[in-house]
Amino acid sequence: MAKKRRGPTKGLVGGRYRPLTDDQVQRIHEAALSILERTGVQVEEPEALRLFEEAGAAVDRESSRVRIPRALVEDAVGWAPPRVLLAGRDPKWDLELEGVRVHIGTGGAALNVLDLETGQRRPAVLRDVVELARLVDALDNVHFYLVPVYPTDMGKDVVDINTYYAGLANTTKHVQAGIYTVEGIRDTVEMCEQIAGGAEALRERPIISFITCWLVSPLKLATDVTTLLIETCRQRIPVVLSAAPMAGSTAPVTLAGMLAQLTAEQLSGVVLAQLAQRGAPLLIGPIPATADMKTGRYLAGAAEFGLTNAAMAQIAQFYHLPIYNSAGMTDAKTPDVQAGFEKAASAVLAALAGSNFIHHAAGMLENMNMVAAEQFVIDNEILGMTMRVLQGVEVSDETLALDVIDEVGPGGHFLTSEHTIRHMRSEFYYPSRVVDRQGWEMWQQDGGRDAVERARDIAHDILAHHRPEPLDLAVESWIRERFELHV
Amino acid sequence: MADILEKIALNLYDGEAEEVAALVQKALDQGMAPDEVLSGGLIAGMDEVGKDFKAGDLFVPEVLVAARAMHAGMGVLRPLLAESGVPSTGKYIIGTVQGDLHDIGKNLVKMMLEGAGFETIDLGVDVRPDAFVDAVREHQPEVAGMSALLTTTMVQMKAIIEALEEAGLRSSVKIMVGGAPVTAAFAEEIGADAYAPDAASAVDVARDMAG
Repeated sequence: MAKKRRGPTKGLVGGRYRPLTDDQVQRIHEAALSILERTGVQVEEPEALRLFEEAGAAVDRESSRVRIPRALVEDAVGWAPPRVLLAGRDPKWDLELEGVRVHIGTGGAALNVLDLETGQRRPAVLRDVVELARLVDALDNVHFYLVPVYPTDMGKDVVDINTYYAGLANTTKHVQAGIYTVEGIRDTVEMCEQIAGGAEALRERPIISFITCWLVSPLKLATDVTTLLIETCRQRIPVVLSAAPMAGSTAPVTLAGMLAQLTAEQLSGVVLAQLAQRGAPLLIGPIPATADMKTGRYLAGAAEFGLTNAAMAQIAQFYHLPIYNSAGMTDAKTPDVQAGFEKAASAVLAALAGSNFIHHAAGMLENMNMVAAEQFVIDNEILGMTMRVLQGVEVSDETLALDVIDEVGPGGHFLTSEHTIRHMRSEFYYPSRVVDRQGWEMWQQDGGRDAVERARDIAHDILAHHRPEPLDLAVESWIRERFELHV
Repeated sequence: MADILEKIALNLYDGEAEEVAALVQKALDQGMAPDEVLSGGLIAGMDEVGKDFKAGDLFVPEVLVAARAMHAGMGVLRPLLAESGVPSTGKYIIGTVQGDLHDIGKNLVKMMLEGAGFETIDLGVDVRPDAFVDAVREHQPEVAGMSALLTTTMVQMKAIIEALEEAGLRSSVKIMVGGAPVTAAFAEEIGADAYAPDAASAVDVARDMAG
């Protein structure tokens, strides 16, 4: 009997949820161009200043203000590739970012871990990068491994090579992380060239990408990270232009004003990246959020979070640029009900909007401050459901099933129809045992436990048994010879 | 010889009812004993189905088509088994109680029972208490199962048990109840012998009671 099962969910097509009208997108675009021409961005990094100046931007060196003409913005948007491949060590996990194709995964970089054994919050260490990579490798609805924690047990000089190594050695999914030094970028690229089988092989199939938080909202470039951004562009490794304003504190309180400012910020980054290296593969990385007006804190689980991240996906589609944004986040401190509903709401919205690379959507708690192994397992189900929704309803002669309906007739049943057996595995999403669908009695017989407890069991199981495909032995020993690894 | 039993088991697993019936006949024609065909072919196949179902690898429809194949095989075997005095798994009457027209759950249980080798008598839906009594008197089943989906009709289960008591038949038959609103506590309260929360566990419960 044929047992057609659902395949990997990555790369499904979104774009059906459009919170902005075309006219509103156009107005935000015009507003962003106007911000860049009138207000501009603050730039102190010397190479960036030189690049902007040479390209004809209005550079006021006294105030470090760079005003960018719209023609330059339009040129740079045209130079940036509309499609970016983020490869997996296993090609099964390749992500082709373009248009409204949707991929979802983890995000970083939390400093704390809710320890699976003790249940206590503790500082994240390099060992966590290893264990979480193994966990994510086994969770099919998490499409990539963005290193979720910053290891606090090592110096900045060796953190880049160690986090990338720990990720790549323990999952065959695409690995992305923040980077912290120019040396770190060069070491990491050198290591990945070995793994990929050469310099050009790595550029053709980049198994890693870099995140640069090069801009601090509003409109101010971070000098050190801007240097890193220019370096990554020249390495021709995909790079994310990450910026995360909060409406009400680092952007206007009105969502339209925030979206316009964030669009301007992103466009300024696209210009700089393309001036540094024409055609450099990049993802714009707008992460719109809101500030809690009662405390000033960053909010990850607000209703506006899903809404505005969906809006940014529309804006990215307008420019034909791949987008990295956020969803599936929460302000909850434990994997509780608040975590569940906040995560589900924004994940569905961002995916339906056609975001290409939705990060922060697995494992994260306490906005971006903490991860928990059981939360990755729970979020894997939220993402599985989200991707099923994205898949939509297939309407064809086969799925309309008129012959089957006629054969069964009034008062019959479809349980034993060949048609049922043919489609039942692929038509529905089947969750893992983190989801309980039994009746009360059976549930009680199984110990009457809740989803969080079941998720901890699954996490324990995976960590005890799952062995990801290792790196090639010769490459592995070359890496260990060449670099100072702490794992 | 063992080859044909394995073929029966495999075809049963795949729900090929006609093929199973034909293979059972062929095995008998080759001179195999009916109880050997039953245990080495049909039950061996159904055990495999049960194992994979419990593991979550097979779904309900696959169990049902396997059960249908089991039923087809049993159709050939049952007269011969009776002749040779091999005890059957049991006789089971089943119905949805008066006032209730929902039958998908009842049918599911019935098909699962047939897959386990039970001989079932289906009274259908909207079954009056006296019809239950008549059926118990006529068929003398080991077990009688009642189903209800509505909270307004589940009270009918008690009426049926009372009718069986009045007819002096209550002690001759074990009574099982089930359906979405029914609970173990309710089963006990109305004097039923057992409750099963779903179709798969209904088979286990029925086996216990018939055995």
